[in-house]
Amino acid sequence: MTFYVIRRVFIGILLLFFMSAAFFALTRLTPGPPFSTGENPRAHQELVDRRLHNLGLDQPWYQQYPAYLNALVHGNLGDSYVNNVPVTTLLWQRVPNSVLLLGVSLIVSLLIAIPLGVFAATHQYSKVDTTTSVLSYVGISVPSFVLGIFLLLGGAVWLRHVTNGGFYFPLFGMHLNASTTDLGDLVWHMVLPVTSLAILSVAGFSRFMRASMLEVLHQDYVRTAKAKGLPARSVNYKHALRNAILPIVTLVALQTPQFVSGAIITEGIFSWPGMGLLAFQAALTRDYPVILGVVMLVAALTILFNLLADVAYAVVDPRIRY
Amino acid sequence: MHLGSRLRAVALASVIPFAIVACGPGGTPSSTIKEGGTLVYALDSDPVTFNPFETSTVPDIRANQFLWPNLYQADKNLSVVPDLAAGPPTVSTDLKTWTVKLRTDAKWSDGSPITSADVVATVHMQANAKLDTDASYDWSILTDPVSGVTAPDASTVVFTLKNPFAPFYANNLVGYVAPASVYANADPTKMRTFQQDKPTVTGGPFLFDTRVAGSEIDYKANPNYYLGKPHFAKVVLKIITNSTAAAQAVISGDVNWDPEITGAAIDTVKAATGVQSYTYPDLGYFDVRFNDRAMWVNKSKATLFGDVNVRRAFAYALDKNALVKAATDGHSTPMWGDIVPASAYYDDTAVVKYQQDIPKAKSLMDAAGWTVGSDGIRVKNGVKFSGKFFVRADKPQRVKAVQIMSEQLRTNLGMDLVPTPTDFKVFYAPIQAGNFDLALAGFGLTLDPDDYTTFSSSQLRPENSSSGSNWTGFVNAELDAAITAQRNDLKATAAETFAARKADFAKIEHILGDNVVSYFLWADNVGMAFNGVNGVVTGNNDSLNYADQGRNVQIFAQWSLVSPK
Amino acid sequence: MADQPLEKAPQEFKSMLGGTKLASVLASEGALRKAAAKEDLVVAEVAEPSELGFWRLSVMRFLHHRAATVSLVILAIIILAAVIVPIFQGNLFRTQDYTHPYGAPFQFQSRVISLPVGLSVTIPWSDHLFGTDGLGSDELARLIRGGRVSLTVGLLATVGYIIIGGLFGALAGYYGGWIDNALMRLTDVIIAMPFILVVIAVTAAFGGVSLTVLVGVIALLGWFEIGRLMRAQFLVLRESEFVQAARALGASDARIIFRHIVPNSLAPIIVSATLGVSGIILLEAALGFLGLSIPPPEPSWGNMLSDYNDFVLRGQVYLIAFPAGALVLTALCINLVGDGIRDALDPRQR
Repeated sequence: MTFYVIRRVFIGILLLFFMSAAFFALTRLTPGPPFSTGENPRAHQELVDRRLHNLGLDQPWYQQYPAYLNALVHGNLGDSYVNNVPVTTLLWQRVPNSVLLLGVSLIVSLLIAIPLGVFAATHQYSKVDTTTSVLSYVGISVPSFVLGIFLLLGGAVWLRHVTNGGFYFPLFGMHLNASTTDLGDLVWHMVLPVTSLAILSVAGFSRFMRASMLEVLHQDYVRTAKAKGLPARSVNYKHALRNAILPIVTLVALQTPQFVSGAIITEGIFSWPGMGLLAFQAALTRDYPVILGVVMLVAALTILFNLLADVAYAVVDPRIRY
Repeated sequence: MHLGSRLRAVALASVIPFAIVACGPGGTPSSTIKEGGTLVYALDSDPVTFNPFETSTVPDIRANQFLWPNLYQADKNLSVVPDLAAGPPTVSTDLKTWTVKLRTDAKWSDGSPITSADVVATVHMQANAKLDTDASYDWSILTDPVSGVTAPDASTVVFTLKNPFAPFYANNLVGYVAPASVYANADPTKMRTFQQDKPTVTGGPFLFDTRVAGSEIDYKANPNYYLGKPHFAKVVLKIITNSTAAAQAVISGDVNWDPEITGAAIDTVKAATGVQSYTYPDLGYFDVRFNDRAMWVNKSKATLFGDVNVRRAFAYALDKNALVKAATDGHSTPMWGDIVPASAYYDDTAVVKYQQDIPKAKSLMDAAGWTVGSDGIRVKNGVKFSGKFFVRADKPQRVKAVQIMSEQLRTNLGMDLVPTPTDFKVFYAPIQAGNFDLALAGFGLTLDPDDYTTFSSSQLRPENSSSGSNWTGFVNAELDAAITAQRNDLKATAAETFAARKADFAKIEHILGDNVVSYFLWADNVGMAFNGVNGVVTGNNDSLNYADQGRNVQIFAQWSLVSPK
Repeated sequence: MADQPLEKAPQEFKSMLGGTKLASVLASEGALRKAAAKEDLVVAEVAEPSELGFWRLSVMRFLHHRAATVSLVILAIIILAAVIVPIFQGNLFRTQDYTHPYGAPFQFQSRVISLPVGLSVTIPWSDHLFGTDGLGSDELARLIRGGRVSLTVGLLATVGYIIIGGLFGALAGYYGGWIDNALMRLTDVIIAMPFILVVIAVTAAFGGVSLTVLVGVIALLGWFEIGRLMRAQFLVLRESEFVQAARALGASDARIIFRHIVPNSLAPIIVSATLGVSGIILLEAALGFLGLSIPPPEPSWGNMLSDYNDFVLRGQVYLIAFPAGALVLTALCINLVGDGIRDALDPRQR
């Protein structure tokens, strides 16, 4: 087991290394300089050139790579082209906000999706099953931005209008103001973005949970238990559910990058100061060190979660051994 | 998400302008003034620096305007007025020595007085060739970057120039002053990261309080501010990335002041009750920049617009007012020269206006030797009138304008100009290298209309300068002479200088228009909206020229909240 | 192989799920269900005569999935419209009336139509049924033309990644060894990245977005899902009795792959590819929403949404509703058709 984990960690680090090399080459081969005088008629080309030189960006990419690699090994992702601060600092400011938003969305969606999926599976072909099925197809077919704008206009604008300012959700941000430490205020600000993210996840997770549950219900031991006359409720929830829930752990781990992708749009709509917004601003300004930083962080987390999921699997399921 | 402004207008950088208000309450009856409360101000993206030497993007300039004293700044009509200075500068009889007297009552936030040593240290740092910054300072006019500026006593600053230079007042003297105690000994090569996240000593109307990265910045009133303590107790800058949310936030009163409302949001806030809204013409313009050379610089192709008659035909074939209105949904001011109509130097009689006249346009094309081919596209010596119309892909209004012009010119005139939206990282390269036919580009401007870098032939890039911003390839001795004249026309009094330069600019505008060096399109009308703020007054033409991008921010020290909370 | 059990369980899901969209979750159901229903009874309303071929049976089963059949019809209409209508409309999608922009939708006026025998009828008529956009161009024409672009991106990128993924997956699954290892590790990398961000960065590296670049980038980065599926299929099938038999008879590798394994591994690939198309169409729309998809004048459902803030604020909801509605409808239909195909190809799963 220990050897297995060490091996996986080693492979994970190797993967991150290759990813960074590929991305590095890509960003350095991009046409157009990272900075230019653009639309400022008084900008000095010499200053721009000097900055390129200071950052070593005037050299061919293969000459820049050793320095970059050296920094990377020391945990330094480089400095943002726009903010001039280390990318790690920026990530440190923004990532906790995203973890909060995405974590709560994940928990909320699992709390809804798992019971829904189980119910649909145990009542296969029932009205609830069919309705869930149709709704989840609609859910995965609606783009997150359509949902986001709809929620913003409905929950923050329309609701405020019809209740004459009595009841509504905030238009932007995660706190009423910087000094607010009130948990209720934070929750209030989270309602719309979490709803927007959770609806999409519920659609996917509930379908998956249903399928997973159905699989287990068809296993021999479940049939045996049923044949022996154990009450269906006991079989379903005591024996089947435990095993059916396992695969979703892996699914959640693997969906990490997709959560972040979703956050890019949702955080932008609700002005949530997370890393999705940071990544999007970096993409607009072609701030490659920041883009690379976000990509690397997400990749590292995905690989880590994946490993944790596998280990958790082994712990929970005695049949799996490493 | 109007994050775009960060990319736009890196413009006002060189000057980091500023504004002022020396005077008393411009129209606010004192009875309506209420003390205290928090003013909530909307920003569309997070500023990146609080080091005044590094502010270059719009969010930077907006966030920093609350913190720093300025020597001079612009008032609501874009005229230069004193701020930290005690009065207008005096100029020696040889017109080369400028003397500025400072107020003696101004203090930094640490209690020490703001003196001429601070001004000198600020200029020394800006003029330091090693200073690493995106802001473009230009002190090359001083006889020496160090000895060219001196402080004979604590309240006097003397600038010694190489030659008489008229734009000096509005371009060089309008700017912030930073405390020498903090910045004078900072390493200029490491200035980008010096006190970037928060300043220690400031001197503007507000003091830095707290910041939550990506979310908000809090300032509190500076009780010792030399123009009087602001009426607001606090200012909170909220970062709202979605423009729909920002507009709705002003309408609902969650935000008291949104300095930049664009597009349809202008109409939305105008229609809302309880919101005061104003528009102001942005300092900057968009134009169709032709390659006026006969050949591309790399000699691979003859240009389409090297012939002045072709450029005139282009101008006659379009209905500028209609196309500008459509492209910007009416939120802009059409332009015929490179001086924005908001400027005092603008002269409506000097510009050459081309009214749409398609038969005339066609005959000009015929005269230039371009005849209509079988497919409706004009041909000359077997070469089709066909080229790429470059435009930045990330600017929807510009893309729209290019689509309209392309369609109009195809049907009206037989020009085949293919709209080519291009990534901004590669957009400038062919234009700056002189290998293009035409492109819709833009320039940000400073308070002074000096257009030396954009139209003087000494600034032709790449031919005469590796850094110039004159990408047109247009060379005209008369134009060069007029541009030199407006820079040198410094007279004994401000009024004489203004009159002489206005005449010079009239000449420039006429030459630019007559030769259609560039086909100027529009200046953006930006909206500004207030909810629950007292004391806001407008400038010329009922527009609000001030209080944005660092132009005249201290004026809001006179404003107050209707119901302070 | 100490880690055999572990590699098996998660990889099985990975192969199906690692994708760019939650839609891929649905593809994975197939794997689960397949395992689930090993000895389950065939649920078949029709007693299927054994002489009917596999594909014919599948079609019959598909037609019994009502939602899928209806979706297929709607989808067919959308695709036909996107392919055929622009041929007749020519440049209507970019014909401007820029001095009269933002025409409202569903404005009817009476129009008299003369019939040949001297009769005439008055019918309600609309020049621009769906209104016009900011340049005064016909919104319906743009919607149809935009559908052509969006569907082209979806279909071409999918075809691209089926080719790339199918090839890599087949090689890895059939030969195993280092090819297999390299493939699995490469896909580990791609799976771990936030797809939309990588697409933005890579398209920028090509100097801006165009149809070709977008299709190329998605195909180059999106193939791993199909690759893993194909590999899983090959791993199972290469050990199957009929392949062993073919090998014993001296068939070449190529013959075994193309004659025996590929036809038998198509079902999950088809399902995954179908769902992939809807995922890519939604991805293109998300890029357009962020202002980073194919630029005008060529419309796409994504770039028609890029000015959404202005449309919302000006109350021109129709300019959002039509492209967004088209997107949702198309994605929904594709997903339901995918569901139908899966049920049809593997009836035990129902």
